[in-house]
This record gives sequence, C-alpha cells and structure tokens, in this order.
Amino acid sequence: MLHCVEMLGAAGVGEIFDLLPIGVCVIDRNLQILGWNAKLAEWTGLARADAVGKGLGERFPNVLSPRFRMRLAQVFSAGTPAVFSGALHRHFLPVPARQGDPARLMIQETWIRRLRGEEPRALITVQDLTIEYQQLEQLRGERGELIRTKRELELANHSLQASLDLYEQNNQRLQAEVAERARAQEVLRRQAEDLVRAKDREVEHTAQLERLVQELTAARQQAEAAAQSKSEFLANMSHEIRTPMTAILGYVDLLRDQAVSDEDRADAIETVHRNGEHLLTIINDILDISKIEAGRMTIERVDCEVQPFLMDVVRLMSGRAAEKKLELALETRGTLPDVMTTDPTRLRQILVNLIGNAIKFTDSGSVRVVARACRDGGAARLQVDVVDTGIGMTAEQLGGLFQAFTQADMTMSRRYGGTGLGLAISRRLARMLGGDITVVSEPGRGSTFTVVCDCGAPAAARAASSTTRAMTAESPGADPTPRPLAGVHLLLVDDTPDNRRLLSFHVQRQGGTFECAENGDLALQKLAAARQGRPYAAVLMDMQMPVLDGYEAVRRLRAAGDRTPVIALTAHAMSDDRDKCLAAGCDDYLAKPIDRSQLLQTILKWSRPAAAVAAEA
Amino acid sequence: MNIAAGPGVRLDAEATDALAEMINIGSGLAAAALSDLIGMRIELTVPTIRLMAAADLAGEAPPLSTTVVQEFAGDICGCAALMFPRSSGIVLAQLLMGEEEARDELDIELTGVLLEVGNIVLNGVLGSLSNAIRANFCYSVPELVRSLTARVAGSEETEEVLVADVQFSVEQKEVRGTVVIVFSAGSVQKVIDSLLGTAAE
Repeated sequence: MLHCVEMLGAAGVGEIFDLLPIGVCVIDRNLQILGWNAKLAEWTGLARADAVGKGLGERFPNVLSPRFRMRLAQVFSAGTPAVFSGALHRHFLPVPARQGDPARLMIQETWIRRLRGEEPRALITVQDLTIEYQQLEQLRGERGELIRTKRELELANHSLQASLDLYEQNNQRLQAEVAERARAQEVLRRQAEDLVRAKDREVEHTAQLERLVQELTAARQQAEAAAQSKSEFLANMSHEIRTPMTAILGYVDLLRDQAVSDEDRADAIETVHRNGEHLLTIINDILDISKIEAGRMTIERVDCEVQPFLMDVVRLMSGRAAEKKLELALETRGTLPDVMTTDPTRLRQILVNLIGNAIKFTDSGSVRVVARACRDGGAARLQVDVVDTGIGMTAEQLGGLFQAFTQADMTMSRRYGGTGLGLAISRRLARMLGGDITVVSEPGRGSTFTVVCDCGAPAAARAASSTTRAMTAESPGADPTPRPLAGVHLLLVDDTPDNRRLLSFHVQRQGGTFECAENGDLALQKLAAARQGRPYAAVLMDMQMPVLDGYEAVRRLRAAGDRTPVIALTAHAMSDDRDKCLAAGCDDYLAKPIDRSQLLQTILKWSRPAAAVAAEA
Repeated sequence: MNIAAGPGVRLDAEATDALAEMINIGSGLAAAALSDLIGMRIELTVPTIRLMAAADLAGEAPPLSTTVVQEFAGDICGCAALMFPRSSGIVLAQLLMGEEEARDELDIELTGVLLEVGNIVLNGVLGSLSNAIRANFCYSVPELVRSLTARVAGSEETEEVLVADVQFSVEQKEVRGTVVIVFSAGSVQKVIDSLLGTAAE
C-alpha cells in the first residue's frame, strides 16, 4: 500500500494539500481513505492519522446511502465525475457549520472524480457553501421583502389611484354640484329680484291706492262740506225769506185793522214795502246763485259804450251814497275803450253789488270808482277799482269773503243788510265775463275791490241796445211831473186780479185812465172795439195768460194790422225773453215786479199822444 | 424519431436508429438516476435528434440559456452539453427541489441543481457513448457556461454536432432542454461505425 500522504508530502504537494481551503479526500474503490487534508480534519474533527486507512463509510455511514452509492460506483466503473449539489443533498459529510449556529450542519458541494493512473482512486472535494447559502437565504428574504414591499406599494398605489379616481369623481361631482348650485343661486337671485320688483310695484300700488283713498276722502269731504254748506244755505235762506215775509204779513195784518192810526198805517206800509223789496232781492239772488251753480246762467255778448255805462251805474248808486253823506265819484285812468263787448246786465250787477257794499260798510269818507284799461297777454281788459274809506276787513274776514253762506257772512249781512250772496254771485259772474274780483283791505282804513273783465274785440262802435240806456238814478217817490199820464187811456191785460189792481192803481195815480182784460182773447176783442171807438194809447200785456197768452195775442193783433203800442209785462228777465216779446210784435217790455217809475217812463215813451190818436181816427 | 442529416456525414436509417438508441439508453439511465435522487418519478424522452455543422450551432442555442458542459477525451474527443432556456432551467431546478413558489433568479442553489442534473444526464449519455465505441473516456468536471457556441467557437477541430431535444417530465410538468454533443472531426463516423459494428481498423 502506498502511503499517499508521504508521497504527496514528499512532492511538496502535501503542503498545498493541507493549505487548500476546501476539504480534500482520496479514496479507493472500496471507499478506503487514502488521503485526508487538514481542512477535512478541521471540519470533521477526525485527524488525518485517525482517518487514513479507515473506511469512509465506517466513519460517515450516510455516504453509503443510495443517493450517493451508485454514482460513486459509476465514478470508478465509467470514470464519470459526480457532482453532489448543496441544494439537493445538503451535505456529503455531515459536519457542523463553521459559522453561526453550530447546531446546523455545513452545506456542502461535493465533487468526486477519478484520478488517472492504474490504481482506481477518486478525489473527493468538499466545498463549504454554508455562508453562501445563508447569504442566499438572506438575499432571498430581502428579495422577498422587496417583492412584498413592491407588491404592497403596487397595491397601495393601486388603491391610491383608485382613491384619486374616486376623488376625481367626487371632485367632478362637486364641480357639477357647485355649478348646479350657482345656477340655482342665479335662479334664486333672479326670483329675488322679481320679488323685489313685485314688492316695489305693490308698494307703488299701495301708495296709489292711498292717494286715491286720500283723494276720495277729500272729495267726499268736499261733497260733505258742499252738502253741509248747501244745508246751511237752505237754512239761512229759509230764515232770510221767512224774516221779511213775517214782517210783511204781520204789518199787512195790522193794516186790516181800521182803528190803526195814520201814522202807524204809514209806518206799516213803509215797512211792508221795504221788506217786500228786500225779499225780492233775496229771491233774485237765490235764483241767480242757483242758476250759476247749475251752470244754467248764460252770458250774453253785446256791445256797450263804456263811459256812458259806467256813468249810469254811478248815477244809479248816487242816491244811496247821498243818504249816508258819502262822496261817490267816477274816475278814469288813461284812455278807456269806447266800446266793449260784454254782458252789461251782469257787469252792472257786479258793480252795483261792489259799490253797494262799499257804501254799506263806509260810515264816512268816500267811495271812488276808478276805471282803467289793461291788457292781459293779447286780450283787452277793463279794470274797475271800488275804493272805500270804510271799516275794512281783517285777514280772517277776507278769507271767507267770496264764499257764499258762511256764518261770518250771515252775521255781517244781518247787521249791515244784504243777502250774504252778493259777493259770491259777483265773483262767479266776473269769472264768466272772463275776469275775476280781488280785494285788498286794511281794518279801519278801508277796502279796495277790483273787478277785471274782458272787453272783447272792439266791434263797430254801435249804440248800446235799448235796455242799457236811460237808466237814470232817481230818488224813489219823486215824479218829474204830476199826473203825467193825463189823457192817456191804457188797456191793462193780466189774468191775476191783484196785478190788475196794482197796475190800475199805478195808472190812476199818474193821472191815466184804463180798461182791463183778463186774457188775450178779451184783450183782442177790446182792441178791435177800440179801433172803432176810442183807441188805446198803449197796451200793458202780461205775457203768461191762460186761454190766449200775450205772445199769441200780440201776433194776432199785429196780423190784424193794429199798430197799438204793446208793452210786454213778463216775469222772466232774460234777454231771449225780451227778444221773444219783440219778435211777437211787442214794442217794449218790463220785467216783473214792475218798477213804478220805469213803468211810467215806458208808457210815456210809447203811448201815442191823444191828439195823434185822434188824428189817426 | 427524426434525424436530420448535415453535410459531411451520410446517415442512413441504420445509423439513425443506432444513434437514437444510444442516446435513449443514456437518457434512460439518467432518468433512473434522477428519479432515485429526488424520490419522484422522472421521465426523459428524446423526441428529436439532429446532426449539424458546428457553424450552425449558434442558431440552436436559445438566448439567455443555462448550459452545463462536460468534456470527454479518448479515442474520440469532444464535449457534451445540456442546455436549458433560463426560465426552463429555473422551473426544472425548482421541480427537483420540490419548491412551490416560482423564482426568477438563477442563484447558486438553482445552478447547483442544474449542474448536478447536467452531470447526471451527460454522464448517462457519455456513458452510453463510451459503451458504444467500446472505449473509455477521460472526463472533465461539469461546468456551467453562458454560451456553448462561444465555448465551441474556439476549437478548430470540431466538425459535427449532434443535437438532441430532451423532455423532462416531472409530476405532470414538462421541461424541455437540449443535449448537444460536439464531436471532433471524423468522430461521428467512428461512432456510427462502432455502433453498426463496421469499424475501420
């Protein structure tokens, strides 16, 4: 037997053999250990001396296991090398691991190859791969960790992505909601605006309604006030009417008594007359104001000469002024127009009222009537100031002046006489004449009433019509000549016995003679007879009569060719009434109640002198 | 079994059969050895054998392959190789180790397994070859190489290459690999002659 060790050692190879970092062993075909290096001795704890010459299988029985046996045999029989990997076998020689846990065995990779030579010998090399496998294990663990972490990260990323997607979805939904909300807000805003507008409209409507209510209330109050004042007026007027009526009836009753003294009788007659006139004035005023209020007052437009007209008016009032020892004068400022187009009757009424008031409320001094022309825009106007030095008025009195039927007015009218309607009527008339009445006053110093009215376009200068002429102021009761109607024979036609009696009384007093007729028919008969016999100087014809009224009677008379002057007596004072009379054939007319002097004048004017009549016959 | 003939070697049916049988015997032995090793039944089948020139070998080697090479020398010389595509190698190694979880790294554990598998298979095949020519070989230890073609390209004497597709069947799973025997010039004929008993003396 060759001692391999010595053989190897002698060659120097033995040193190399022992220095090798791997376990090296040489065996023969029978697995007898021929060589054992230091590394193997270290690992196995089996010293070379103890190993060599021993059977490998004896010391390490697992090498005899089937997994190794056949392939070991093959090494010798076929000469093929054998590799036993650590993965499939773990170890060839079970020895404890050098590092780490000694309870664990070394992991080995073992190579066995046949050595050259005649002798069948094999070389076993054992590599310690424990560390490598440990490291591998560790690496695998780490790798596993990394992979797990990677997977977790992937999952996390995935879920993060999913969350992001969800957030994105939610975000989009939120956006949509926000947009929706914005839209809804917009709608609400517009609705709010609409509501505000509606509310404003409502407020407006409410305000309108309130205004309407106020207006209605005011109108109602006005109406109530008007009704109130109408009631007051009626109350006042009925009082004003009843008062003189009472006096008249009372004193007439007194006159029935035969035993009344002449003095008392005269006084009674005077009182009755005065009250009668007053009553007439009241009634006229009431009728006037009613007509004006009802809008049925008509204003005529006739030309009248300005200067004569004003002088007439002043003359008319001079008597009353003289009674109170007041100076009454007409003054003109500048140039007055020659002719003006107006309603002279109404203008006279106004001036008479104003001058009458001035006289009434002035105890001493003067009343001046100052006339002047003025222009208002393009219109020619006449301004007349009635200036008095009377008691004047306070501002309070001025306030209620032109209103009819006020309490203060009533008190004044009772104290100073008058109806209390005069100024109200005058102002309305002035306005209907295209102007107005204004007043300034100072208590204790006097008042100035100013009336302005349109002159109208100056037409050709024509003389005023008959009714405005010849209004001479006469003191009542003064006759120009005693018994002026001497020799005048008249026909008095009136259906009322009282009126006939009155007329006849007047005529007789004036020295005239008369005949009466109750109606138009009888009048015509008498006139026909008179034509044969003694003709009448004139006829005084009441126009309103039964059977045959005055108009028809006159028409027939004229148709018969009778030219006897007819003076119409009518209760109506309207100009169109006058025209009606004249158209029927009358020559003149007198308005009832008949003024005595007027009656006389008119009869004298128209009656044919007895001589002329006689000549005609 | 198909044998594709390459240039230089005339293959008749007899030669074909002889070569095929040789390989089969060898793989059969290997299968038995592997079965014993892992305690699981392994079957090794060789569906195709081809003979080609060394120059054509490049086309055979799959990219990223794991190759175990064992050289032999004797009356004829050459080297034998067992080639796996990387993924197949891993699968086979894990199958043999009884590992469930698939790995994608060929670490020293797995390469160790493949080395041993290569060793067993090539031992079988080369053993069969040595029997066929009734001669003994000297073998090198098995080696893991990256590329067989690179290994082979350096040698000038090689002429013929025997390529056999092998199929490992383990537990209803199959793994394909390739056995390549690179012969020096003229060696294949010798083998055929030996197999057929028509040796040129």
